[in-house]
Amino acid sequence: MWSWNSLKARFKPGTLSEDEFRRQQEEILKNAPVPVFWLFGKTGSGKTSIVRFLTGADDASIGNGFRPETQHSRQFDFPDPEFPILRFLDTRGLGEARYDPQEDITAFSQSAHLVIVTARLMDHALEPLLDPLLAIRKAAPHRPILLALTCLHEAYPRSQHPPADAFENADKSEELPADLRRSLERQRERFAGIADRIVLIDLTRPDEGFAEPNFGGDRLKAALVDLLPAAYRQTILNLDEAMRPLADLKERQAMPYILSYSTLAATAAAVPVPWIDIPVVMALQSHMVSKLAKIYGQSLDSAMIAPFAGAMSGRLLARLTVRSTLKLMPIIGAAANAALAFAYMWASGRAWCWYFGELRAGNAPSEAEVQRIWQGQLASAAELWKRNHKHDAPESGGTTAP
Amino acid sequence: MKAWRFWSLVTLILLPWVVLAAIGGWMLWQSGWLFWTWWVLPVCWGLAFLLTRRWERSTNRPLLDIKRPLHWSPRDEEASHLVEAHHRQMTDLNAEQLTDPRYYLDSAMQLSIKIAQHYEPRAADPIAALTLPEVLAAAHLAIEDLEDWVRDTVPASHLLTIRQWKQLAKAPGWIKTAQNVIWAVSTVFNPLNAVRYLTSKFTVDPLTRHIQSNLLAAFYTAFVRQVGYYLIEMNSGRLRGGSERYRALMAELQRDGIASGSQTVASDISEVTIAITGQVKAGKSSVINALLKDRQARTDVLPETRGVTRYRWQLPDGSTVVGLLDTPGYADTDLTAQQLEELFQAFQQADVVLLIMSATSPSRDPDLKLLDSMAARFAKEPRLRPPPIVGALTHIDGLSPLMEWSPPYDWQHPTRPKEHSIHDAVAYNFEILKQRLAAIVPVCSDRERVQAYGIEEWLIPALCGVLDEGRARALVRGLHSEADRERLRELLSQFRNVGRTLLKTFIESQCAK
Repeated sequence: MWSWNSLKARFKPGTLSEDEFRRQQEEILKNAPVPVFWLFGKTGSGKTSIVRFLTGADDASIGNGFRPETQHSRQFDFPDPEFPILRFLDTRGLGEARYDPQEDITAFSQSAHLVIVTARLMDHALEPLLDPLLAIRKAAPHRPILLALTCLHEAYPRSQHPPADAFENADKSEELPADLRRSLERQRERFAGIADRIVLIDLTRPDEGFAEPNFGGDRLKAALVDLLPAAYRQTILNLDEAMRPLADLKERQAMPYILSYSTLAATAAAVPVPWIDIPVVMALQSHMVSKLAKIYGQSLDSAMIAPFAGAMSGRLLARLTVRSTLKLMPIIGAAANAALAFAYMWASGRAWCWYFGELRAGNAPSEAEVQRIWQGQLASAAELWKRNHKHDAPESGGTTAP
Repeated sequence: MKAWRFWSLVTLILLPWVVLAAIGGWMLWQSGWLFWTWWVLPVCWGLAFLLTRRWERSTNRPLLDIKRPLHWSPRDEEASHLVEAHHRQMTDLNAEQLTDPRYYLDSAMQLSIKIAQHYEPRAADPIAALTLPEVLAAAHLAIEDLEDWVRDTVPASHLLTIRQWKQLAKAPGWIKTAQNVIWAVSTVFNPLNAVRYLTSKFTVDPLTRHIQSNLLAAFYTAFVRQVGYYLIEMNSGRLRGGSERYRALMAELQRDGIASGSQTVASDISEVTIAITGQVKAGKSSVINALLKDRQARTDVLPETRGVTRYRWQLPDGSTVVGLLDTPGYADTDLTAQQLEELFQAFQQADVVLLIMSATSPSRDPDLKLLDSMAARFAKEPRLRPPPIVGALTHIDGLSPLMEWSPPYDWQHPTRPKEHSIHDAVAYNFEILKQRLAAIVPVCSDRERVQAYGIEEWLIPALCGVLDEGRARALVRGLHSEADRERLRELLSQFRNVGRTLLKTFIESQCAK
């Protein structure tokens, strides 16, 4: 039987009540680097495929995850509304006589970082998109607009995709089918001055029979990273990097949560005080463990928590271990606190997942094994953080990590 | 055969039975069994009485069921309900009334007012607008049909005189008198017969009355049916061309027509036109090309069709020629009022509408808007039946799995993934459009890349399925425009005649001087 109280007692997260935790969580969410994508396109233009491609979630959970936001739009928080790492806004009703983009522009003007316009490459009835797009552009001239031209295969039915470099390289564009070239030219003219970048993608299901189901996916990710404000880039990069090596279904399900809790912990800890005593980070950890247990179908009890208690709940030990792992990082102050919290959370999440996986396989890992895994994950978490934050300027004026 | 010979033969045939019955009765009397076997009679008759009562309720007045012909508009069908209601209203059909000609005339007058009011709900005198030839044509046609009915269904009707007809009403009287005499005599011989008399009073009487009034009721029903039918035809303006022209057109309609291509009187105005409509890039032009087996309609990746183009298409059976109207496409987001107006103009000239929808585009809102606004507009033109609509789901080659294309596909009984995709797409679109469509079929009309599929398998049969309905609309449409033209022409020729007569009179009067 999982019990929030038993966990709280184990990890001693200070005197943070549930209400207090909720309040702090909201505060953290406001500051967390959660990229918000504003999807703008007609039904069937491939919006869901983009969400599926970026999150790895299946269609059903995407479909159910969207909640109505305004009269014409809905929102999908991945992996869930409480602990998101990616947010998608989806505007519907485009081109209908009664659609007025003003409501959505007002609602999303602050939150949306990037507009992704989706259109099928061969769709030339796109005039209804242009006026609202111009209004959106006018409302926030610096917010990038990315045009994703989708369903390329409609230009060459039942043939495999042309070589990818034909799309990237202007010299090789003769290799593209003539219909596609004409269509593309028309789309370029149409969106000139509106879209900052155009990517051609064809995200299909594996059973459709294309050699490359996520055709152009990498170009899309690269464009997103490029166009997003710097602070929000690492979320996309982290997710991409963390998900890539995972094959196990449970691990793939758990990873977005680990990442989201780690990001939140980093956000919470980005204050110039010694991090380990921040109760909200400990509370986040308890929440995360219970979430992971649910994904793995495990119930938490004292016997199960025991191997972890020794491995990482002792504050002094944890502090020392984390600090020694991260000591090579050339950062100080709040940034260091954030890095420590991120690594700590990430390593715990990964270790718990490994532990749950072992339990499911019928093994009972010892405390030493848990310790070994945890430390290994700490190292890779530190690596991940360092790689994706290398552009961040070191902060000054804060105290160093303890 | 002389009458006496006939009767002697009948007597000889019946005599053994009578003798045997008499001996049997005597034997029963002698053995004392008569008392027990006697009950068979009242039991059977009692049962017959109950059944008569039961069946009488449903069959006394034969139900009036008007067969609704294909060319009727919804307004005509509503009028036919009025005719049925009028027939139901006559609760007590008594034989006296049913043999009285005035009763029929009254009933016809009442019905004609009801029907005229249905067609001209706001007019103070709804009949006033009808022309004399129309009324005469309606009466002529109704009476002609009634004559046919009597000849066909009333046995020995060619021998039935008016006197005999009138006696049908009086028949029960003399039958009853004869029966009463027989009963009175028989009770003298056997007091038990008094009981039998009472039972028969309740059983045989209604039975005979029932049979006799059934013929009258059937005649009345046929009368109401024919009168009602032609009142509907008259009020909806289809008799303006006269009864002969009307008969010719109906013969054309009934003709096993689509197959036999022989020229008839009416075929000049009965060519069916199919309007093809749909969103931009839904594949209208390529469906037309696939039907015509020719590259007449231009197809391109960028939107093309501007304005309305007319093609002539010969059905694969080689006999019937159908007109195809290619209409401008509309956006997959919305339709402007002007587009709706243009499409409606095209639809008015059409008898069947073929709605082309792309299976790979989920946007059905503008199609729905088009169909609903067309239905609303057609409702304002109640003289004609709205054209039946067939949906064609194109680009099924673009359904999942994308890389596969190996027809034939048995999408009605799906087993392969592609068949499931086609089946689901058809079901999805039908779910949205529902009864607005007469049928919905999947096609692939891409003749350039792959061979077209589904055109001959599903689309042409679906179109043929509604062609009769379309032909009915074409005929009536033609009939109306013909009558409108005719009216003007006749007026002119009548003016000419009057002028000629005046001139003649003038010249004669001059000569006389």
